[in-house]
Amino acid sequence: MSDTINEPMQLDVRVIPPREKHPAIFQTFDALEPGESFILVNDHDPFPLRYQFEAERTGAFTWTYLEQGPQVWRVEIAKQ
Amino acid sequence: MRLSLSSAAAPDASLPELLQACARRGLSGLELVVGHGHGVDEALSTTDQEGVAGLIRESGVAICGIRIADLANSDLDATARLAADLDTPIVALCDDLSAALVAQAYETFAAAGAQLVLEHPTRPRVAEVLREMITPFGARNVLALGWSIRPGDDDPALVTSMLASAGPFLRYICLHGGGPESAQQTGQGVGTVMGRLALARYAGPLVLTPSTPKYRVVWNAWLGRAGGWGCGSKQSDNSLVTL
Repeated sequence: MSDTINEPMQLDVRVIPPREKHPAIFQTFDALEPGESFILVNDHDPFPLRYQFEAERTGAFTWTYLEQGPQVWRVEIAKQ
Repeated sequence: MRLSLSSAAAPDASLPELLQACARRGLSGLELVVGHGHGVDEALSTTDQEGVAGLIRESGVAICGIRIADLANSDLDATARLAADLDTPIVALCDDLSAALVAQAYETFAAAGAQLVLEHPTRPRVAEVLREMITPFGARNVLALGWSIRPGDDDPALVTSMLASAGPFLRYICLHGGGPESAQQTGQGVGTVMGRLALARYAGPLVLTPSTPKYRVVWNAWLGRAGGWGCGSKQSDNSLVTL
């Protein structure tokens, strides 16, 4: 994987069982250094997750849609 | 990572059907298992190869790998030529390989300008042995490692050591389960695996394949394929699972 080190981190949650999705997303976010980001990939708009981020990581993140359906949603979540 | 589909999800499907299913599900890659209904194998004529390449180009879906059953008993020259002609790696599950066969495979694939992925199960020692075997050849574009994950059976705690064992040679991951099966899983470590892969910046294919053939009906429905499971069908089988 060393030659892919400049690739953005990407977490594709389409394959993760529902009850594991949000814990995996928050674990990934918490492992980031300030200024780092990862791209969340999902098969629907993950806006409920944004509300959870606003409640539990208030002011610590930015949320940028990169792609909005119809099959795939990509959101860049950055740690401030 | 590039989420992909294995033809094992629909072994009887044609290549156009598989490509359409990938596009419908937003999957960027397709693994072709030799012997399935898509018809892609070492015996493909040049004309047929051109037809296959055209279908792939038009679909916008990449062929991420061609899976063979057994490297030791395969025609290495023909297999390497197929990989080079379709510009996609050959993938072979390797639990036990001789150094001589690895060396021979390296020579053959290097000469053809092709790549061979040696896939291992979730056993760090097997990954280490394979990595030691391919390291002397140095050229990661010819020999690489793949990892076959079975979240239902594998220990999630091994993820970190597996990534360390395969190191920079890891280029291919096959995930048994996922897809429509993920909806009924109740926490088997897939989230942990995916999180670690994201943090490791894994950028290769992650191929979805059924954990067992009994889920074939579920996968067919998920892929949007027509039924054919009507009352009295010879394909009706009580061992097959529906959701």
